[in-house]
Amino acid sequence: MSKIVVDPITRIEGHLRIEAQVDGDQITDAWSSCTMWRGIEKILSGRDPRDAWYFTQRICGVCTTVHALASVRAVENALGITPPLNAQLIRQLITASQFVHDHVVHFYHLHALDWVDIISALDADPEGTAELAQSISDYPKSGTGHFRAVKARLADFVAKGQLGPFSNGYWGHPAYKLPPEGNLLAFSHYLDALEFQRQYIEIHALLGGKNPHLQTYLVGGVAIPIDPNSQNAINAATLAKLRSLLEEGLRFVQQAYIPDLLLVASFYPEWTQIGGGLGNFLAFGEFPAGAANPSEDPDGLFLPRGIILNKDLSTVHPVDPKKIAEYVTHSWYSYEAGDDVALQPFDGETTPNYTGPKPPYDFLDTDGKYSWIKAPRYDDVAMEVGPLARMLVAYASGRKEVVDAVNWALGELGVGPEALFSTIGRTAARGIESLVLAEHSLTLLDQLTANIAAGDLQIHNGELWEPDTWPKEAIGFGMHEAPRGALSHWIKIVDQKIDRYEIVVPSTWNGSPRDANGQRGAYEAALIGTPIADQQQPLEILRTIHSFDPCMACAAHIIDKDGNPVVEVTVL
Amino acid sequence: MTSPSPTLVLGLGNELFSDEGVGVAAMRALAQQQLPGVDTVDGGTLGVELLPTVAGRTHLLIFDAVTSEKAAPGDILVLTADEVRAGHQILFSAHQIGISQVLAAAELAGHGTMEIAGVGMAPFSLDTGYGITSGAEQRLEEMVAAGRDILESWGVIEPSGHTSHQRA
Repeated sequence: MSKIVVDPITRIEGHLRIEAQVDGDQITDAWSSCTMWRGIEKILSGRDPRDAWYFTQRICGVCTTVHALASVRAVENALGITPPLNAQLIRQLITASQFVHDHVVHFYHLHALDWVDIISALDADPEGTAELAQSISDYPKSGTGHFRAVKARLADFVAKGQLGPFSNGYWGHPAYKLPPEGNLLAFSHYLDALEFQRQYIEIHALLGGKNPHLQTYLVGGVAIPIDPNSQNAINAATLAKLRSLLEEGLRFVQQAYIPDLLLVASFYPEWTQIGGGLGNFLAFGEFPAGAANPSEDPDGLFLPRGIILNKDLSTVHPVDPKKIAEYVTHSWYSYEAGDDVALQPFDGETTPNYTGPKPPYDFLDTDGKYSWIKAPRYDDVAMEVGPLARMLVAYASGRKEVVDAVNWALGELGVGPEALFSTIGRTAARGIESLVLAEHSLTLLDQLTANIAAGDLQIHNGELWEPDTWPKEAIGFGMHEAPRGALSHWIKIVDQKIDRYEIVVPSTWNGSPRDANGQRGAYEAALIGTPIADQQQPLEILRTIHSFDPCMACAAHIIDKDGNPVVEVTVL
Repeated sequence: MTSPSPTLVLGLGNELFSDEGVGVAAMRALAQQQLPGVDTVDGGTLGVELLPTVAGRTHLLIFDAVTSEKAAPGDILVLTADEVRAGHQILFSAHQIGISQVLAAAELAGHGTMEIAGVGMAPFSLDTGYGITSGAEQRLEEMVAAGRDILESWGVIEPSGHTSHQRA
C-alpha cells in the first residue's frame, strides 16, 4: 500500500491537490484538497450591487462571463427586475459560444494530451494519417502533404528543445494507446483548434463590446446597443458576421472535435468502465425561453434542470435551491453551531480555521480538516455537476436534441448508456454538448434576428435601476449553468448596498472534501478503482481529474522567475 | 474594430488579490502616457483566450507579479524572452494555462512574436483585496519606467529623456 500526492503547488499559493492511496496497481481511496483560501466574497461587502458582476468576473480568467451572468441574475432576482428579450438572447449567445469555445479549449489544449502522445506523432506515416483522417471525417485538411508538413513542424518545434505546452508530459507512458498516426492527426487538429478559437472568440468581441474582458453585462439587460442604422451597435453586418462565426464553430465541432473524440474513445474502451464516481448528478439547466430569469422559472430551459440519483436514468428529480447546504467538517472553517451541521448559502459562515500542517509537508491529515473548499450537498447527498450531469438530465428528461446526439455517439462506439458513467463518458458528454449548443446558438441567433426585424430594439429595463426604487432589504440568488456546472451567486442587499455575498462554484461541488457523514466528493469518488501503471507518472489520475475540467476559481497565476516546478508528484 | 499595433503591452494578474494585480496597474499607468504605436491590454488572468490578443505582434512587453527567491517585496525584475517563455507545468486545469503556454501556442500556430520581455514586481502581499498595496503603489513608477526602457531599446518609442530607472 502506498500513497501518491499530486500537487500543482507553488511556494505562495496552491490549487488542487490530490492524495491517492494505491494498493497494488489500483487506487483504493482518494482525497481532494484545495490548498488556498481566497474569501473573494468579502471584497463585495458594502459595494453597489449593480457593480458586483464586474468584481466577480475577475475571480477567474476563464470563467469571466459565467460569474458576470450569475451575478446580474442574482441582483435581478433580488430586486424583481426582468431584462428584455433581446438582452436575454444576447446573454445566451455569449453563453452558448462560451461553452463551445471552452469545451474545444479543454479538449485540445488540456485533456487530449492525456490520451494523445505528442512525441509518438513523430513516428507517424503521413500517408497512413491521411487515410485514417479521411476514414473518420470529411474535414478538409486531410491530405498526405498536409500531415507531412504538420509532422515537420512538430519535429522542428521539438528540436528547439522548448516543448512549451508539451513540456512535462508523460510521453512514452505505457497507458498511451493511440497509434502514431492517431497522435499526428490529433496534433494537427490541436493546431487548427488554436486557429479556430482565435477566430471564434470574436463572437464575444461583437456581443460583449470589448475583448478580452466583456463589458456588456448590466443589471436589467445588456450594455451593447442594437441599432440597424448605426456602425457602433449590433446591426445587420454584426448579425451576418455572427452567423458566419457560429457556422464555422459548428463545422469545427462536427468535423474535428466529435470525430477526434470518438477516435480517442475507441482506443480506450476500458475507460468507459473507470471513473464513474458518485452516480448522483445535479444540473441547474440553462438557456431559458423568452425573458424568464432561470433563477425563478425552470420551465422552458433548453438544457433542463434536474437531479439524477444512483445512475437511475428513469427518474429526473426536481431541484429545490433550499436543499443546498454546505458542510465544513473536513474544511478549514468553523461554524458557530459546530462543524457537523450544514448551512444554507444565505446563512453561510466563512470563518477560517486552518488546522493543517505547516508547509512544506508530506501529507494532509485527511481524518480531520484537509481543504479550503467547503462540501456542498443537495438534500444531504454529494453531487457531480458539469457536462455529464447536464447531458444525463437532458437525456433522461427527453430533450430531443440531446437524446439524438447521445444515442448517435453511443451507437458509433457500440456501447450502451451505462458507459456514460465513466471518465470517457464525462469527456464525451462535453463533446456532445458542444455539438448540441453549436447548433442551438444558431437558433438563438435566428430568434434575435427575428426580434430585431420585428422592430424590438430594447436592450435594457431601467425601471428599477435607481437604488431609491429598491426595498430596504432584499435577497436573491442567481443560477447559471456554467461550462463546468451548476453555479450560484447568493446576495443580500441592505440599504442599497451589498450586505452579504456567497458564491457556490461548480468545482466546489466536484472537488469537495468529505462531509459530516463521510460522503466523498465527486473527484474523490471517481478516482477509486483507477488503475495506476507507474506511480511516478500518475497519468491515470490526471485523466479522470481532467475529465471534470476543474477550476479552483482562484486563478492566481504568478510567474516564478526561478523556474521551479509547480507540480510535485510524491510517492511515499 | 481598428487594426492592432505591432507592439503590445500586456498587464497580467488578478486585481482581487492585492499585488497579484500589479501588472495590470502598471499597464494602466503606462497606458495613460498614450504612447503612439503601442497597444495596452488588460489581460487579467485570461489564459488561452489571450491568444487572439497576442498573436501576430512583433513586440510584446508583459507586466506581471513575479516571485523569485532572490527578490524582496517591491523589487523590479526584468525577464528575458526565455524567462517569460519558460514554464514547466503539469496542469490540472485549463485555468493554469499561463502566458508561457500562450506564447508557445502562438508560435506553433505560426503567429510567433519576435521580441518578448517582461517586467515584474515582487509582491508585498497577495491577500484578498481589490487594489495594490501602498508599497507596490510607491514602486509602480519604477516598474513602468523599466517597461519604457525596454520599449525604447526595441526602438518602438522615442527616448523620454527621463532619468533611467536603477535596476534593483
